[in-house]
Order: sequence, then structure tokens, then C-alpha cells
Amino acid sequence: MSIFTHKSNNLEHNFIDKLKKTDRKHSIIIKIVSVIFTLNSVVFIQYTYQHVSDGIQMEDISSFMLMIATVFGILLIWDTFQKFRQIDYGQSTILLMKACVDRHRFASRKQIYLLVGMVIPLLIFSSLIYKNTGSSSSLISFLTGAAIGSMVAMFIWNRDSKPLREHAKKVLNELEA
Amino acid sequence: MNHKKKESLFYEILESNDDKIKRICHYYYRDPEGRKDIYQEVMTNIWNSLDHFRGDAAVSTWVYRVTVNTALTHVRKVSKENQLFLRKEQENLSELIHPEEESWQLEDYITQLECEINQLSMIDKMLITLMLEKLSMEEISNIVGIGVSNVRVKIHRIKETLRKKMIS
Repeated sequence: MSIFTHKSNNLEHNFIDKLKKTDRKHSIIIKIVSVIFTLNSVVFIQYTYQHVSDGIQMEDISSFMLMIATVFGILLIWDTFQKFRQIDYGQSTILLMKACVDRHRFASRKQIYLLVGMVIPLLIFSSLIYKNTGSSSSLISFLTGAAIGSMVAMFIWNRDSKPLREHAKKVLNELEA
Repeated sequence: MNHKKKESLFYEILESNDDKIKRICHYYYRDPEGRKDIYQEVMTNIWNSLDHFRGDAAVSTWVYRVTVNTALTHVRKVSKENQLFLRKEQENLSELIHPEEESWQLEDYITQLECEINQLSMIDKMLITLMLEKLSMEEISNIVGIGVSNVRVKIHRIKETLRKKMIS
């Protein structure tokens, strides 16, 4: 039985329309973020180098943690960028749809590992600042930022990618039925 | 693949498969502007996907894949509906048309058939375009990525559905 009935023709049209638009939008966003991250990493590396050359101190560890977080951040962005970089239309329709399902999942296992690799050094960094200065503002702002960031990411994914993924899954089910 | 080699391969593919691409575009757009639009997008996707082409499938099958996949995900700028258009002079249309239809009724019949086809899902529509292109079940199976028997069953079901609707 056909998955798109007469009533859902509009839904089908939306899927076709949104799939490419969302892929393009994601690709542009990731490009911008990767440029910002790369510029940041250069600053952090220079900052770490300056501190280490003065002799190892508490500040060096925190800037080193910041550098590790940046490296993981770059890897995370690169991994996401690769997914949206170029879509191969020469593969069969079933593979194209499978790639779409994979591309629009919230986070792959590899991305979760990279995210953990980024969050833990950032947490250490904020804790060290708290220990050094006695002020909890950086720790609180990091935790708040992380919470807001995940909520925004979840909202965007829910609005843009989830419906596309669901429809691609339906098309796959129809093809495999 | 270097740029020169890619360019010569691109033109070679274009030369031998241009009519196929144009025919597929014709199914999706009736107006020349829309057809030009989708044709250009197919060209871009052929160029971009050329780096991934390993020659596992025949070039014509690969071109069909790129074209139908582009048509599936094409951002509609002109038409608001994901519609399929049939032509009266299409050679393989007999596959879908009742044999006893009189020629004077044919135009109405095709219009009605078009209407019924456009109620189908996009995968079913895609299978119809490939079937009207006179592709073998094996070729369709290669393009879509499902088994030959699955393609056969699906096409049989589509034909049955259309036949029943047209009779009723």
C-alpha cells in the first residue's frame, strides 16, 4: 500500500522541498562554525604556549584543557561537515534514503564520543577557575551554556531534521516492503 | 580524478545520455522553464557525483540514478505539486492504457490516468517513469536498489491499482 495517500500529498511535497533546503542550510552553518572554531584554536594554542614557556602553573593546565576541548570541537564539526559536504546522487535510491536517515539523526555514536571529549575538558577548565578564584560564575555559566546549547540543538533538530528523517524512513519502509 | 579527465568524462556521459535525462525531466515538468531548471540541477549533480563514480554500474544506469534521485529531491520552484506528466505520443504508454480505448478518447483517458498516477506515492511514480523508459526489471532494480522480484511485484501492484481505478 502506498504510504502517501491523497490527503498527505502536501506532506510529501514538503519532504521533497525541505530535504535539500535543510541539507544546504546545515552545510552553511557548519562551515561558519568550523571557521570560528579554527580561529579560536589558533588563539588557544598560542595562549597555552605562552603560559607553558613561563613554567607550568595551574593556568597552563586550564588552557591546555581548553585546547583539548577545541581539538575535540574541531573533530566534531569536521565529522558533521563531512556528512553534509557532498551528497552522492549516483547511488541507488535506497542508499540515498539510508544516507539521509543517517545524516539527519540527532547524534551518531562517534559524535557522542567527540562531544564527551569536548565537554569533559571544558568542565575541568571551569572547575579549575572555580578552584583558583573561588568564584563559581564560570562553572555556572558553562553549565547554563551547555543546557541552553543542548536545548537549542534539540529544538532545531526537532523542527528541521526529525520530520525529514521520519519521511525518509517511511520511503525506505515502502521500498523494502 | 583530475579536472581535465573529469571534464572529458562529463561531456562523454552527457553526449550519450542527454536524451535520457531530457525524457525523465519531461515527466516531472510540463513547462520548458521547469524542465530547464531540473535539467541544470541534474547536470550539477552529475558533475558533483562524478568523483564517486567507480564504474560498478553501467553509465546509463548511473545517469538514470542521478536523474531520478535529483527529481525526488528537487526543490520545486515552478510547480507546487510533485506531479508526473504523460505524453500521448509516448511509445510505452500501452503498458498502462486499456487496449480497447478509442483514439478520440485517448486524450481524456491519459488526463484521467495522469490524475490517478499523481495520487500514488513518489516511489511508485518513480517506478512508472522508469517503466515507461522501457528499462528492464534488472535495470530498475539497479537504479532503485531493491531486488528484481520486489520491483516486479511493485510494478504489478501499481498497474493493478491503476487499472482498477480507471475501470471504476
